[in-house]
Amino acid sequence: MKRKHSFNFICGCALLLLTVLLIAGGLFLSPYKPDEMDAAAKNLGPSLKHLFGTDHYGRDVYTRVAHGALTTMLIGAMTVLIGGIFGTLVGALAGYIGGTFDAVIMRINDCLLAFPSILLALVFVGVFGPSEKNVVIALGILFVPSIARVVRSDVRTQLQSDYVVNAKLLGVSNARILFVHILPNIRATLLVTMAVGFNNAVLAESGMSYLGLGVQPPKASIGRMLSEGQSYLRSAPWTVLFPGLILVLAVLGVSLLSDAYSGNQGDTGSPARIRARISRKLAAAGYGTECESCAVSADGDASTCADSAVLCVRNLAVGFEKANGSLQTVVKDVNFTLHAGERIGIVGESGSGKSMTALSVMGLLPDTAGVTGRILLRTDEGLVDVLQCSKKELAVLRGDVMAMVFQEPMTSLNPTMPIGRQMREMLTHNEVHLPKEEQEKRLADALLEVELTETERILRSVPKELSGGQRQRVMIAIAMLLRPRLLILDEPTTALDAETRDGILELLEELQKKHGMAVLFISHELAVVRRICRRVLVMDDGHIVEEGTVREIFEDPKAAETKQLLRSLEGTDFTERMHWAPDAPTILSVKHLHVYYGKRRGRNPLNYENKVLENFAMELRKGEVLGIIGRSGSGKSTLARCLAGLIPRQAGTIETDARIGMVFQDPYGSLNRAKTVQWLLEEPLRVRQKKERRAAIRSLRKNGLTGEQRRNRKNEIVAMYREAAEERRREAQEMLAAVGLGKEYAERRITELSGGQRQRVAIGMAILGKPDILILDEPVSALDATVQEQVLALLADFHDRFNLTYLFITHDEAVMRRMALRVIYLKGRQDLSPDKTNKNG
Amino acid sequence: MKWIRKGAAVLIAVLALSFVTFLAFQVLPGDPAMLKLGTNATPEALEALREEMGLNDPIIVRYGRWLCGVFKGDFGESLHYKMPVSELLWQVLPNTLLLAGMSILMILVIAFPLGLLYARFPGSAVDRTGAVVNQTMMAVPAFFLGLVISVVLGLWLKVFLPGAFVSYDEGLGACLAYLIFPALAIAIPKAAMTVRFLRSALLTERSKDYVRTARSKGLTEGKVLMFHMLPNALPGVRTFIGVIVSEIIAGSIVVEQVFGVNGLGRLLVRSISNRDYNVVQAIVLYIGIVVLLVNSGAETE
Repeated sequence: MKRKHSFNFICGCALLLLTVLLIAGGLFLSPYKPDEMDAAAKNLGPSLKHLFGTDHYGRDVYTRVAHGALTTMLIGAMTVLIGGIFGTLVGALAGYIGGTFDAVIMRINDCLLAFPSILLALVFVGVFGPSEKNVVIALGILFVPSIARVVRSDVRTQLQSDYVVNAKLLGVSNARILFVHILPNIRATLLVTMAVGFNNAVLAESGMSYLGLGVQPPKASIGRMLSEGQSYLRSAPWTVLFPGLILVLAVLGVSLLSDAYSGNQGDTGSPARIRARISRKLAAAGYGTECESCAVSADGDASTCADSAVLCVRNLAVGFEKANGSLQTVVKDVNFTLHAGERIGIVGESGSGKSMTALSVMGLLPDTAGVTGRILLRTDEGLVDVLQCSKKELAVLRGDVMAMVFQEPMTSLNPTMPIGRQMREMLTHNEVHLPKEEQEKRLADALLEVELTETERILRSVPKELSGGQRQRVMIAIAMLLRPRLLILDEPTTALDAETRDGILELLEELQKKHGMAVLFISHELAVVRRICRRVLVMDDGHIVEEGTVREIFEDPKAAETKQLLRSLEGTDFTERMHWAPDAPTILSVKHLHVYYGKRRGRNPLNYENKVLENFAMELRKGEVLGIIGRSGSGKSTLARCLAGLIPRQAGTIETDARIGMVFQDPYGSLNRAKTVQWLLEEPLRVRQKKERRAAIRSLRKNGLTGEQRRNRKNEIVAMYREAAEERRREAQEMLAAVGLGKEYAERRITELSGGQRQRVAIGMAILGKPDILILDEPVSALDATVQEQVLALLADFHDRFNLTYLFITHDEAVMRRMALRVIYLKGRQDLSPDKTNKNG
Repeated sequence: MKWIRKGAAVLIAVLALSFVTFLAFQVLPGDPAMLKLGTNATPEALEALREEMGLNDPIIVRYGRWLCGVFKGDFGESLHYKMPVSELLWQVLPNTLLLAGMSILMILVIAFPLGLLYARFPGSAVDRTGAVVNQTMMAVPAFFLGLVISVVLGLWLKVFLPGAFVSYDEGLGACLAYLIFPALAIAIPKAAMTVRFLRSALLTERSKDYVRTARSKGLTEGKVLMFHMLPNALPGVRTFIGVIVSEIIAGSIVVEQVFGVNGLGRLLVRSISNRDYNVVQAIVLYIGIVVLLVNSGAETE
């Protein structure tokens, strides 16, 4: 595949190359010396003899520019080097060690950073005298804080991520975590900061030299040339122009390159053009034309839309452009009709194109998407094709005729705007002008309708003061405010826990009965769709693979994909595949465990603001699969981390000799993105081999061995090194095969794998750490049903094969029933009411 | 309570700053008695003068004495101009403040409309052309831009006469009219940075879920930008402008030199060359305090 470089990258390279060539030309090809004066050639304009002209002493400006620019660039480079090395060290240590050390260092750092560096450099030079060396030292020191700050905050963020926790669990040393695991992940930000630092240093140095406080004559410097040329601005502007321009050239080149590196602004062209281009490609691929497959739709006619229909989708195709320019079609020839008052569900796994279908109805597809086909929507003025509407016309349709409720109530409301205003917008921006009191009453009524009683308080609150369920109710109230004909629900309950979900579904059923709007319900959960809808469309890979009533789909599924969906809904029972003896010895026993967060109240050591686990006890026998279930906030993850020794406990005992390994919920976070799969799988072995070697070397040192024995021992250790690498490679490859990934995955990075593949690697990595107990913290919660099934099967197979004991943590009862032999329910403390969170935050 | 804590933090920082400048300019540069009497003075005379000036006291006592003076507005005497430093400062400070104020105003006036425009039509021809111009402007050092402005607007188009600066006390109108040009030189690169920051802050907001919700409510694109994206992007922009303001103070040091503006920066550079440390110290302390105040004001919690 040909890699396409960005506009910024090409321009940046070109400018830098030009600068380098100019400098090199002046240094090696120019017949003049930088301080060679020619009384006969004063203030001559640019000519073939003197490319950039001559100055008031008759010196060749081009030669001087080249020498001056070289000096400036070298100073810039030195500064970045000094600042980069010390800044990275200081920042990394402050970030990693944390606590008081971090606080003190960062306080000093922030103070230094607040001051403009040229001012401090001036002071430094003022005290120690102007010279090139002092400029470098001053600018270098002043660059340390900005690098340190970036590195420190990045290190801190990385420390929070699961892959560092994972490395700690595997016993990786602190220094290795910092330099081998974390630093490669922050290389990009580091480079960009350094580029900015280089530019600042170049500008600061030339400024100081201009003021006469930087590079001293007779050495040529850009700043000096500018200040000398200033007196001859009228007669010889070129003595100022060219030195300045070369600075601009170099600085611009570096900043363009750093932009290209940090991925700022791709060169994708204007959104309208992208959309047109993709639409053309879609048409070329045969989508959006009147085709035979369209006849599948229920009303039998693709081109017309029945009078009773609210929405007719015809031959809809949605596509994106891949990085290499080829077309990726996510919705392929979708046809359906939604009649007034009807409820249709679209189900499918993530990536099946169901959300994209919903968004294209609203005209809310991302800028980078192209679309063909027709989406006919019934309005008061008759049928309108949404895809032909201008942005203005679309804005009129939205809210009034069709409204939408999104998946994430936490992020779908404006975080800084009071709820009242967000609701009022629905009225004011849709030309509904009411007197103020009536308006307020309407908003309050809308809230009451979604069963939110404290209307006054809610209207005044900002979203973070409400719970997830409350927010989703507000979203529904907003969507229903203007009584739209069509309500689109895009996974409205997926982000909510079971109880809240039931409440919201009940509410939706009720509202539909009351107002009779047509509903398009998008979900990946068949069970949820069953409650709301009569008719179901099953989507897979952009196609509608099956269409029918709820009963037909559930009782007599036809398409293989539907059957697969139904099967994963039930799930296989894996408990019989995992064997263990009930009289096996206890390998982990927990008694009176207390884990608290937050501040301590008073002197009592057990009185904390936030009691997560109180007086918890459990026992784990060898080979057992113990399930721990509880809703979010009940302390499941806290328990997992406490058992793994990652967070401290306030009281209680944990007795165990077992090695503990862990698999996290989100493999994207728990695996290091900067490394290859092979490297990740080798890492647990590498750590273990290191320990063995260290022990061997220590024994070499202390025992009173004879010379002969000593030599033998040394040879053994050398051989160990050699074998270690071979052993690592072999074991990693065996594990790769064991988790069901082909050899070709060894050199890939985590970013190139799917969610299920990532979790396989994570499981493999945990098992290579040779744990006795494996804590599985929601290992399949982030995965689709089908992939869930596969990963659970893998875990079930590994249980007997590697002699493991599982502690299986989840909020999902269905999954739990399929895996665990014994279950502990975590009640947790009382639920966090929104008021409480607010006070604590 | 928040403000008290903030105020205390600033106060501590100011004290620390004053101590550092005191060390840098009163202790490091050497013996002021020697400077005053010259190298030919007898050791006895030097010793007597040191005793008289209090140079033999411990550093902390000398610092306390100096700090008391500073609180009364007494920064000592300029060795070069032979006049009190505070008087010297008052002559030039208003010029610098006018210049800084004008630059900040220009930055805001240039940056907000452009930033909003680019964010309204991301990826469009306007946006992409704007980005190229922006990048280039960011790469131009303010003092070089000043020279270009002097040549083009001053010498060729004769809009103003470079170097013919009128101080504020000689005619406020003429002073302001002249300051437009140095202010332009300071403002353009900084405005370009602000445009870029504002644009990317707005685009970050643009990809968030709540913006999609706002659109689904039937708001037009422009209203989504003004009522939803902008308010959420502002806190970050405010902090950024705080940084810009402190950089303007630094930028004006060199630009004042280019345009011959009789301001703080010019006095600072001259005093560094003259090794007139009492003046340098006062200016550094002053700028430091301004920077601290601006930053703690612009900081978002």
